[in-house]
Amino acid sequence: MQVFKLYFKLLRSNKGILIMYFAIFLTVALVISNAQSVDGNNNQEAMKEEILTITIIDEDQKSFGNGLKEYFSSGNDIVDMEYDEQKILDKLYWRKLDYALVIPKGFEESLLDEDVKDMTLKCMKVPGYFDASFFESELSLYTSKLTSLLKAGYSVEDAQKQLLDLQDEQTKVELATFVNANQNDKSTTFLAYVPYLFITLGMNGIGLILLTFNAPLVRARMECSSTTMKTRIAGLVGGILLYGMLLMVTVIVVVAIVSKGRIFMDVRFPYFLINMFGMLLFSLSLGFFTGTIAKNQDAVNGLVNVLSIGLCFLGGVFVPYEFFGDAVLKVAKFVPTYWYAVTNTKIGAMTEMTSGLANDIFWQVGLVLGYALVIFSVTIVIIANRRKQTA
Amino acid sequence: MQQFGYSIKRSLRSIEGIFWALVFPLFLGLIFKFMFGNLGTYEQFSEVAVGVVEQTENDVFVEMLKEIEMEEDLHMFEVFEYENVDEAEKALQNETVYTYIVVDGDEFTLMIRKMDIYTSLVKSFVDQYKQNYTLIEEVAKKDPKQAVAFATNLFDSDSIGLEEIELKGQDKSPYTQYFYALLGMACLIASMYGLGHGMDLQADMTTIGARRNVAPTPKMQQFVTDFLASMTMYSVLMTIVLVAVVYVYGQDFGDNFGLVWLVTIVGTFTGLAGGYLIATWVKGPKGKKEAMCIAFFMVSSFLGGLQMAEMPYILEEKCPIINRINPATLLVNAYKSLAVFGDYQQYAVNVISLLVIGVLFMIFSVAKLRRTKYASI
Repeated sequence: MQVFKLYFKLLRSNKGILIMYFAIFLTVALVISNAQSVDGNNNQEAMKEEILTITIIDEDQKSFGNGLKEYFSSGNDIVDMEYDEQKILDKLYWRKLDYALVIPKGFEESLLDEDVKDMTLKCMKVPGYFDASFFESELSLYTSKLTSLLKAGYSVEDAQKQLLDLQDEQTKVELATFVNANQNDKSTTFLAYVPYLFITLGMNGIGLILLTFNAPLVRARMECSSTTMKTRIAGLVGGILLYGMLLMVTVIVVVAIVSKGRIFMDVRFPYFLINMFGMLLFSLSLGFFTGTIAKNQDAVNGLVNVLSIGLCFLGGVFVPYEFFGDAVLKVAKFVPTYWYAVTNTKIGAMTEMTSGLANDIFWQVGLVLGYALVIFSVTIVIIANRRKQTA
Repeated sequence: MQQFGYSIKRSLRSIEGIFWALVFPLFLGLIFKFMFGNLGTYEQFSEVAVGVVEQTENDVFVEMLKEIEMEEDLHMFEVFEYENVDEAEKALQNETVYTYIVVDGDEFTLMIRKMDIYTSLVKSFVDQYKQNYTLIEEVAKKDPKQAVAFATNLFDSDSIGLEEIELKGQDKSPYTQYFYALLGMACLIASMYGLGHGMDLQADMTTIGARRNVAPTPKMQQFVTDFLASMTMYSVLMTIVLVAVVYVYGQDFGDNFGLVWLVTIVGTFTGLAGGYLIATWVKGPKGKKEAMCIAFFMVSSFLGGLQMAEMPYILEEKCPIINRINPATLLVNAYKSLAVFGDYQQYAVNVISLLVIGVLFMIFSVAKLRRTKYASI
């Protein structure tokens, strides 16, 4: 019990750094999950078409430009902008604008009068960018229909009105039965960042404390005390496990707040817990390893930052793994955070537990636990070797 | 000069200092290079995999789906035909296809996992197919003689030409942003150096500090030589990091390496000054001050877009003042203004802002150091 109590006393003395990492995590996770989540409480949100952000700069100021804006404003964001290359470039760079279309002066006249040389529309886009290609294909379909109608004797206004009316004819879209409409809700996106918290706080909260326990004089004093090795280890393991549980409870409380309590009624909740538990044990074993091999606080800080940021980037926590190329994906499969992220996505998208999904979750969480076991075993071997050397 | 030499020696012996300044940024850069090396291709167009289940045959539609091209020799869709809905559902679940279309004569239903740019493209195609037929019917109703000519025009006519306006600057990849943020963070990690040197000037923080406080050398002289030594040392390390990022990791920072280097050095100055500020103003043990330093460069880097490249843009919309005073964002914007815009005015604004922040940090640090007296240590 003494060792157990001491663990928490030491933890209290390091509360500054732990609170700091928790605050960093909370800021990162809340900001990113707010920016990336889709509130899919109903199918309508999940079924919304990809919205493109377009600016149409009309230098011609004729009916063609107005009709074009009206047509593409349905389902897209049309941004009003002046022709300012720098501003357009800045927005294109940040993907806040998918396409900038310029209708040059005299364009409509060239469209209607066969004697006037055909003019081209002008555009600014990021070369090869998918959203830009998508808009261009839409624009191409629109203009070929428009020119066909003009050839059939329609006026520009009538042809554009006809095309606008046609927009009501939409294809029926349904969400597949196996997909949860809440697959990208705030809880799922927030939980995707949990490895960052568990790894940073797991490594700090255990590493820094073990550093104190492993200090030569403290260790020597403990070795000659009446407390047996078994009691010491039990106290230490108890402290580590309780600390881990506190971390997990904290995350659950935050998720409950983020989801306004709905998470407790969610069919996915127990599976999220299982996945988190696997990652927690991995992080605790990483903390145990860090505390054993690090010589001082600077080494702990270094290891925490290298491993937490490295594992989170490579595992697809910060940048979604769907974006990874084949080579990166091959390497990511060796990283436990990748399996956490994959499992989290699968659980997020599930509507009910199937045997196939249960099998996937079992193996993927098992893999993370396997990593935890390997790291734990390696640490025990290091400790045993050290004891042999000092004996 | 002797003190300057000693300070350099102390810096060289600091393994953790070398780790934070050199190893950590190079390691992160290696990860970024590995990850983002191919990331741009994700956004390049490639055929969209789409499943088709024909409940009632519509060969014209399926053929059109197979044949339509995005550009010459690049089909818009890769079509997979399935016997029944169950097979198609399985393919959708296994992510073999982005979506599948249930064709029932002239009726189409799109089954999706989520609505994204790929499924939007498929939906748009099916919408256009239906709309074209409705359009032909409408024209035929109005003037039956025009119908055939209209249909021929509709499928054969060329669309209006598009001329692309070339963008200024060289770097068009949003992922280079991660390297800008990485260099920004590396500059601000100089605060760890500044912290160490700042504590070595205080008698109650380190033994070196206690020794130096009883030495006859004026405190201001100690401060200046220490600062110059750490600035020299860290500038060399940052130059190595910058050269590695530009030439080894092959990131495009624009043509003017001299200006890129200059902003890196100014960022280093601000980072170091930040470390001195924390060393002098934050009360408490070394561990607490180090934690503050890590929080300083990590939070600043996060706001500058290290973990999420869009962060500065979100802040620009919600709280732009942060982008004007956050050192990491100023550094990122300075790099961006050179590489993307070639805009020297914006570059100068960012560099001067960074310099002003650094000078303010220094003034506050010196003011605090000068006032500190030790009755007893």
